[in-house]
Parts: sequence; C-alpha cells; structure tokens
Amino acid sequence: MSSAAASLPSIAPELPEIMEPRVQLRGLIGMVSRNPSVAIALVVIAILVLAALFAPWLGTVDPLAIDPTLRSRLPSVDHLFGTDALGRDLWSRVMFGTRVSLIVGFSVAILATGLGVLLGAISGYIRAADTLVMRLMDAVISIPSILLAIALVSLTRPSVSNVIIAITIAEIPRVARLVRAVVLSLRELPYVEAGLVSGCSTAQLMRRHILPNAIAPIIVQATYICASAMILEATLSFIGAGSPSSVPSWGNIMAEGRSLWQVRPLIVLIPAAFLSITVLAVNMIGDGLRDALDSRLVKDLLHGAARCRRSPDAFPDGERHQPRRSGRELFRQPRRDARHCRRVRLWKVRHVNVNHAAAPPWIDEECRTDRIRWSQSARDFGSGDAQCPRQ
Amino acid sequence: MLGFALRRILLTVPVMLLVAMLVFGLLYLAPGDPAVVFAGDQATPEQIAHIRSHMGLDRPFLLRFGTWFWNLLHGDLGTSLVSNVPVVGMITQRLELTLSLMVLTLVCSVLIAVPLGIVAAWKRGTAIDRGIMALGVAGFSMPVFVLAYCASYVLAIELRWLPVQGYSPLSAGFGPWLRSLILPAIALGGGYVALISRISRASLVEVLQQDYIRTARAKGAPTRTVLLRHALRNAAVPIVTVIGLGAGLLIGGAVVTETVFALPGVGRLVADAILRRDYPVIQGVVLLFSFSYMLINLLVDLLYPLLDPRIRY
Repeated sequence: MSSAAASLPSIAPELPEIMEPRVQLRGLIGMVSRNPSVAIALVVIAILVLAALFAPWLGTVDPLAIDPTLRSRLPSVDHLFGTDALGRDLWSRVMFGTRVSLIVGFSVAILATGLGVLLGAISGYIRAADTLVMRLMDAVISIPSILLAIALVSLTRPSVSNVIIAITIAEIPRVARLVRAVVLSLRELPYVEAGLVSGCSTAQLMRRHILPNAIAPIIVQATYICASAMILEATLSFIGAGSPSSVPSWGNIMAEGRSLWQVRPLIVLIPAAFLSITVLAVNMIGDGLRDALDSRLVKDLLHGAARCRRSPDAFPDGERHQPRRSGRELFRQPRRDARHCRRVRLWKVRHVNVNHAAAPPWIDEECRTDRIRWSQSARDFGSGDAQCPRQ
Repeated sequence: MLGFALRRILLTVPVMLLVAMLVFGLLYLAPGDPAVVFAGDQATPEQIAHIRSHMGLDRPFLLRFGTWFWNLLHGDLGTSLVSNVPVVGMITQRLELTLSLMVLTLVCSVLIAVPLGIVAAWKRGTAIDRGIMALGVAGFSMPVFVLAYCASYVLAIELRWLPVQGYSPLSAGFGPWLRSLILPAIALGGGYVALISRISRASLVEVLQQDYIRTARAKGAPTRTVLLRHALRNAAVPIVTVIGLGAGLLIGGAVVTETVFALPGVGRLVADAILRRDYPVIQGVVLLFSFSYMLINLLVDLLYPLLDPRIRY
C-alpha cells in the first residue's frame, strides 16, 4: 500500500497490484472454505453412514437382547448410553437405529424425486396430462403428509419398506409441482424453441435441454425431502405406526423410553439428539447447495417469491454471477440456465438466422443425424441474415 | 375480483371430491372384512354373505362411494369399529382442545416469527441475522416430539413451572387453560416459527433492495415506518402463503403433540385409532384435517388481492 501511495502519478499502471485478482480456490478445499457449514454437515453425514454400515463392529451387542438384571441403567463403561426399560443396550440400539433413518431418508429422496420428476415433466410438457396429474397432486398434497403416511401405513403391516412407500407417496407432489413449474418456465426459453425447430423429439428436448437445467432446484428439493422423510419416519415409529419393534429405529427407542421419561430422560434425549443432528446436517447441505447453485430459479421456486422476479437484464453480467460458478463445477451443469437466458439467446439467435447448409455446432449430436430436416427448417427461416456477425 | 374468488372456490370443489375419494379408497382397501367382524365368530358363510349384502359391501366401488359421500354430506361419518360410537360425535367432543392448541400456536408463532424475520432481514449479514437463521434451521430440524420432550424436561420437570401433561378446558378458567397449553404450543410451534421467520427474512431481503425502499429512506422516513409500512406490506404475500402452507405442519404436529402430552384431542384420537385399526375414525379425522387445510389455503389465496392490490386476476 505504501509503495502505491509513493508513486501516485503512475497509479493507474499499479492498479492491478493494489487490487489483486480474486483467487477462487478450486476443488475440495475451495468448496470447504466457501461453505464451512456444508463441509461440517457432510462430515456428520459421512460419520453416520459409516456408523450405519459398521454398526455390528462398533462395540455393539444384539440390539434386541433383553437383560432383566440390567434394566434402565445409567451410562457406564459396559453400556455407553445406559440401558432401556427392558435392559437392552442403548448404544447398540441407537447405532442400529441409524440404519433405518438413513435408509428411509435416502430411499425416499431418490424414489420421490424420480417419480416426481417423471410426473412433473409429463404435466409440465404435455398439456393434456397437466390437468389430470396436477389435480391428483393437489388432492394428495391437501392431505397433510404425516396423516397420509399414517393412513397408508395403517393399511399394511408395519415394516420399513412400507414406511418408505407411504412417505414416498406423500412426498411425490412436492417434487412434481416443482418440476412442473420449472418445465413450464423453461419451455418458453429460446433454446428450447431452437431445439424444437431443429427437429428434436419431445424426449430429446426433455433429456438434453430441459431436465439438465432443472436439475439444480430438484437436487435442493431432494435434500429437503430426505430431511423431512427422516422426521416422518421417526414420527411414525414414535406413534407406533412406523418400523416394527423388532427393528430398532430412533423413533421406536423414544417411544419405548416414554414410560421412563421422568426418571431416565436420557433414553429419549439421546436418540432425539441423534435425529435432530442428522436432520440438521441434511438441511444444512440443502441450504448450502441452494446457495451454491444460487440460481434465482432455485430461490424463487423454493421460497415462493416468484411473484417479483426481475427481468434477466436487471443485472449486468458480473459479480452477481460469481457464486454460481462453484455450483456449476459441482454438478457440471451446462453453461445455460434460466438466469443466463440472455447470454444464451444472443449467441443462438446469431446462429439460427445464418443460413448454414449444415447444422450449427450447438445442435446436439442426436439432432444432427436429422440433418435433412434441419436444413429444411433453416431454409424456412429465410435467406440468412447478413447483419448478424458470425462468431 | 368476485369472478376470481368464485372461480377459485369452484376449483376447490373437484379437489375436495378427489380427496374424499382417496380417503374413501383407503377404507375400501383396508384389510379385514367388516361383515365378518360384524357377524361374530359363530357366523356361517351364508349369514356373512347376508350381512354383506345388507351392509351394501357387495356393491361396486362407485356406488359405495356415492352412498358414503351422501352420508358425509349429511354429517355422517359412520361409526367407530371399536366403540360403536358415531365418529362425528367422537370428533366434535375433542375438537375444542385441538382448535385451541392450533389457534394459540398459530397466533403466537406468527407474532414471534414475523418480527424475527424482520430483524434478521434488517440486520442482514450481521451476527444477529446469522443467529436468528441458525435458530431457524435448528428449529426446522427438530421434530415436534424432540422439542416437546426437551421443553417439558426443562420447563416442567426441572423448573416445575408448568404441568407436565393434561388439559384444562377453557370453561374451567383462562389461566389454567393457558398454562396447560403453553408446553404443547412451544413443541408444536417450533418448526412453524422457523419456517415463517425464514420466509419472512427471504421475502423482506428481496423487498428491501427495491428502489422504493431507498426512496422512502431518502425522504427521511424513520426505519420503523420503512420496515413496517413499506417493506412488510410488500413482502406480505409469501409470508401469508407460508403461514397457510405451514398449517399442514400444525395439523401433523398436533397428532404427535397430543400423544406426548396426553391431551385428549383429535390428533390423539387418530393416533389411537391407528393402533386399533379403527378405519372409520382414521378416515373421518384425515378428511376433517385435509378439508380444513384446503380451506385455510383457499382463504390465503383469496387474501392475496387484498394484501397486494397489484395482483389482479
């Protein structure tokens, strides 16, 4: 700084030295330094996954083994978390309970997202199916998810897979509505029209142009669904409609600890702490992803503030786009998204209006095979546009 | 405006019908034959068949749904399989508690959460903001029953300020009624407060960047006026939306809260009904909760044009 002040007259050439370029750390270290909370959350989840995988080797005993001589003991060396009302080792039960929570959380997130994307894409893109699918989704979503899950589980025997199915059904509408909203906003964008003009089939358009751009909000939503599935599973088990008592889950352990609640609160508080920390970690990953993938689309859709969306031209390309770069690296997103429509459009319009005999490079491989149709439609556009500078 | 309201109300009807159909389908699919249960152990197959045709169980799905729906419109939800008491009576008996719990929680949550969101948005980026938002994420991650146990451990068992469980009806006096509901309301409201404060903050942050906020500041309006009159008014639509959507959390949470605190409410009724596989009761409560949830959100939708005159339909 002092050297800069000394050579005031020639300050302009020195500017680059004063304002050092912002170095963005890449890779894992960069991601961790930018999002410390996500990093902590990932570590927590990793530890829990390992605990679930290696539960039998973590100093645990049979989580179902009853020992009447050791009922409701306080924590000791032999029983790290103490024992419950039937003399079962709480540490073992909690460790094995991790499995249920993680399995339910992850499988519901995957299943509900997959089915939701399918239904949402269909109703967003096919007008005829829209009313039917969305009214059905409206009906399902009007039943509070926990009640729907309760009702569905009560139809069958309690088991972990039934719990997964019930929660998945209750969560599908959330994804489907989101995907439909994204698809509806994306299908109006010029690059989708361009794809259509160049002869892509609906399936190709969906796969190559629309879904890759909808992936960010979907992934964020999937993490939230994972968190809420874990809470739902614990709640169902807690009121006795979830995992059977032969499968220890955090909700079960708490339900069975209720009778001793006023004497041995630890039996309830320990699984409660595990559950809360797990859900907190998943939610933090979701928040971190949402910020990393900072597209306005994600925020608007997840926060329902779509009403006052600004036009894409409100901000010049510059600093505001900076944070998003990390997100794209994270998921290898194509360099186009709803916020970039301006940039993408300019680039594409130039090409669309030029009368190439061959397909321009942005046409996907699959579309290019359909070259005759492309050149046909290119001719339909007229005799090219001389004013458009070629890139 | 009137046209919009009418259209919106009419749009709710088919969804309600669909919900009713889904809920009826539940009973239809339920395992166990009511005719066998009704006939008792010593019934011959002929008797069971007779009872089945007498109860109308052998008729097609749509016809049975029609009969059931017709009864529903006349306020008849059938009788409990366990106690043989009309379901409607069981629900109305317990409605006071659940309604008081929900209304109390809703009012308190909104009164706490919206100011929290305003402060967080106003002090954006500071320690206060981060603190409030951290509390928000924590509150959102804590299942209702975890919060219920933590709150009752501290406030009822350790400090002995509040009763551990039980309910005192409003007719027995306002003080005891409030005291008996504070703990359940804390448990139930935690996630709701977190949700509303997060959305309030997000929505206000958006609005506070607008030009008219700068104009208001520039012409010398005090911070309070800017925040409450200029910003909050314009940020109200997402907040009210999430208050309506979050009512689902309250409804689901009521089932758990009433179980934890041994409150004889509608939520407890359905929790017990599940364990006893009392399908008509489950059906009735699910239907009641779903319809009230839909009506709340219908109300929210109808509020939009009043909150924000720029919204026209």
